[in-house]
Amino acid sequence: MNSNIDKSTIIDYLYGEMNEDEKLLFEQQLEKDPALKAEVDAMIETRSFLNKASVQEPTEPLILNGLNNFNSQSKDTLWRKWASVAAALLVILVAAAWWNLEIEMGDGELRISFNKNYNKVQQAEIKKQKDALEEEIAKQKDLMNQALKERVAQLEDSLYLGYTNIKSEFQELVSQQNVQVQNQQRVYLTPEDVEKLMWKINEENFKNTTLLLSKTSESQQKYTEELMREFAEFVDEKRQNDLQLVSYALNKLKTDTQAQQEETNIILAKLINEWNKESETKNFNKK
Amino acid sequence: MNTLSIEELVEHAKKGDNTAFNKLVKLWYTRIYNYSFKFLGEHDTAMEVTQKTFISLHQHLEKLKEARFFKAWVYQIATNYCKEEVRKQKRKWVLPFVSFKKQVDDEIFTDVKTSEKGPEHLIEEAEINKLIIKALKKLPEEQRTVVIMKEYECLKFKEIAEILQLSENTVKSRMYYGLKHLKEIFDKWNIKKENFYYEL
Repeated sequence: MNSNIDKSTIIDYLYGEMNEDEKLLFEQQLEKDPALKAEVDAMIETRSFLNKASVQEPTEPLILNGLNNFNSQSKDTLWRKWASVAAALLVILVAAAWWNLEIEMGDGELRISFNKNYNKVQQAEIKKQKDALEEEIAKQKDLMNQALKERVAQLEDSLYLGYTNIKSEFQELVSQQNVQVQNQQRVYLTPEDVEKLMWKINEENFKNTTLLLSKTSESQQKYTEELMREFAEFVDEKRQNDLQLVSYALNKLKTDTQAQQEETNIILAKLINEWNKESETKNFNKK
Repeated sequence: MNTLSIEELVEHAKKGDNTAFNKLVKLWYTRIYNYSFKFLGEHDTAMEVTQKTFISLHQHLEKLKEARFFKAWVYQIATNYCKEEVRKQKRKWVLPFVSFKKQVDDEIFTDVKTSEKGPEHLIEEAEINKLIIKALKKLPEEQRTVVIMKEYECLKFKEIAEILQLSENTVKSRMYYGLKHLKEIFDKWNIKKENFYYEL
């Protein structure tokens, strides 16, 4: 947009809100300024697009609900509304009374409910059943309390009895032990008794020691004899083995010696034979 | 009654004359519906806004001090209801509306751009309205209000300024940017002069 021309002027020109002088002046500027002309032409084209839209017709009639009595009606509207509400309420109450429905008012509420008499009978029955149930519950509660008390008393008695028995048994046991302790002290504390017992123990020990020693010497003798016998057997066995070994060695030596002697004989025979052949050859040559 | 001006009809209606009020309705009903439809682009919502406008008019006509302000007053009421509907739609259809809108725009753009028959065969009368409404809906609310009031309601800039309670220069500025914006939209959709002139 040409900076010298403001938006309002272009709009005034486009919508014919200029006087003749202003229009003439603006058109002269358009001729001089191609950019401005292009801008205005584009706007004219856009306007021509917009003008192609047709007028839309409403398809439904205007409905002014209950407002046809203009002015005078508005003053009565409130009263009429409340009167209609009151009439409706009256109709409902009459109908409820006609059908013998239960109508109650109170606590800021209006209640209409079905089966007036039936409800009362039913409620009385429910109350009666509730009372009977409560009475039965109280009776059962008393019985249970009584049974519990009896049981507790029995348990207390049995516990006391048990405690008494245990106590008496314990006391008796304690008194018996005291008597035994006193008796034991009397036996072991006599010096003569101790001396006798000591002699007795010594005699017993001596006998046992003697017996042990005799038993021990017997067993040692047996062991020694056994050992000697086993040693003799071992030596004998060893001697037999050695003899066998020596015999074997002698046999082997004998065999080896014979074999060597035969070999020596063969070699000597060969040597003699060779020597003979040589001497024959030498003699032949001499000849 | 037939020869009475708008101002006279308004004065009679204010005094409780139902005939005068009915006459006003007859004169303005289509106009307000048309305005609402261009603003909202939907028949049902436009009908609802029109109904609400006339109910409001009926209830509060007594409060209109001077009959000469009737025109501005009616448009004010209708504009307020239209804006209220737009706000409701935004709250109600945030995600689906955006995705649907994008799809429709793309369809329009593709149809016009990739035609083999030639652009003159594409845009017929029913489609022209559809395209223009779509283009108007893409404008910001303040520009859309001014463009509709000027192009379709043929109000003077002074009247629009009165209705919207703005200065005339502001109104003209909005008109200027509104037209520029529409030009960009039509260019984007590849809609040329020839597409429309075929129908003339």
